[in-house]
Amino acid sequence: MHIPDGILPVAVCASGYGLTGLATWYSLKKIKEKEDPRKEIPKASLGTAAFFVASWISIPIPPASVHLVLTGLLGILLGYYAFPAVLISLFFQAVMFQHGGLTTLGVNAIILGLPAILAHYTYTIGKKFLYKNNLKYGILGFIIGSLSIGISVILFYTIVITFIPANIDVNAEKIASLAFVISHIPLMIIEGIFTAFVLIYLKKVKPEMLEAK
Amino acid sequence: MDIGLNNLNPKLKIIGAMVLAFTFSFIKSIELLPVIFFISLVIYYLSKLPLSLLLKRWIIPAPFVILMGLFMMFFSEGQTVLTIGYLSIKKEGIYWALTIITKFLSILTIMVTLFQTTHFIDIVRALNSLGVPAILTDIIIFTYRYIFEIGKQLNKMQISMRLRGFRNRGLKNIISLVSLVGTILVRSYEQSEKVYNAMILRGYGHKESVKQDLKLCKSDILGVFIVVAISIGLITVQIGLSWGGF
Repeated sequence: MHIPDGILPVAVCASGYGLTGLATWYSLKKIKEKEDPRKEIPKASLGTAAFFVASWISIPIPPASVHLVLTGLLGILLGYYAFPAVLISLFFQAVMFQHGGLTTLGVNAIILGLPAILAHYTYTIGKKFLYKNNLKYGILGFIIGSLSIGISVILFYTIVITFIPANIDVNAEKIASLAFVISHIPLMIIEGIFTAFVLIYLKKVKPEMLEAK
Repeated sequence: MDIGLNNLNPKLKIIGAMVLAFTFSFIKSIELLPVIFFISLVIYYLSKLPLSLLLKRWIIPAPFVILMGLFMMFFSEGQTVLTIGYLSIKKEGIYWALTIITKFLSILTIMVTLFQTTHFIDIVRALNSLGVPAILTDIIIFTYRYIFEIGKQLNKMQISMRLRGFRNRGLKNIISLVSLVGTILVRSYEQSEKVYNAMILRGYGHKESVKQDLKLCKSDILGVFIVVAISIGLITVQIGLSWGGF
């Protein structure tokens, strides 16, 4: 779900940077409200790197395989650092692997970063009621993990199909939307299951990591 | 006066590359596509980087852009130029496919030139001096440092899992994969606490960690002048073509 350079009109790329600037400003404002904002920097950096590396793990789903995105888990574990972490991950992906682009960095950050912020808020509220019971806690993880991908898919598709420079045939557009959504359902389910199990794993092994930041 | 790209001020290189990338994004007329492609190739040539490197970088994201191009060629509305079975290629579709592929290759070439002719740490320093907050640039530097370290850890753990008979069979092995990711997260969390304590002992946080004053010389000013002139020229011609004035 990375839009490369050259596909979107310049106004959309600039708006993407504008919205990303706003979301980053908001995240940094919240981070700076903490007693020692720099204390969390190594944690956020290692978290960003760990998520970047975790996305290299692919899960075979015949006939193809999917790679993990984990934006929901990122929102849960990094809190207000999640949006800057997504932005930095995308910057590295654009620079190191040419996935995405630099003119579209802002748009891509919104596509993957907004669900991470929403995941953080959903988790903060849901945790209060569901933390004690493993099954309910797992369901919360599943919902956050799968919805994060679902929102990203909707944002990606809406942006690409709305701002694609060509006039696409209406029927082709309908078929493409259906195919696109159906092809991402397995990823949504896997991300949901994965997020649920990782949350339960961390609750057993390192519960202090799950304190909302 | 040396106008080799390798010696230009990183701050101005970033500004120049972004100005050119956004100018290329602005281009819509087919007449200007060869011009932007040529400009990007000239800039790459001036960097003295090998052509093979550029070709490798072009190949990685190409499938998505080619798919988009094919989708536009076959499913755009407009005049049919060729019919293959149930599908027909549209004239307008070819135009749009050429536009996105050329813009994509041109912008990518500019970005490859920027990142291959500038040391990563200089780019981060330049971003900081351009106003990117220190918290962000610090995270960029640390993340860059840890990606490779955590990558090595993941590789070692995957090898150990394979040696113990693990085969990646998708959802059947999800618990093993969860443990793998969970272990990476726990290890990185524990490591981060040690790293922070070590950083504090070394004086971290007492001054801006990466901020650096980057001085300009004549070749920098000439470089910026050329880029701005090219951008203004391209935008003017594009507006003229859009209004039918040329």
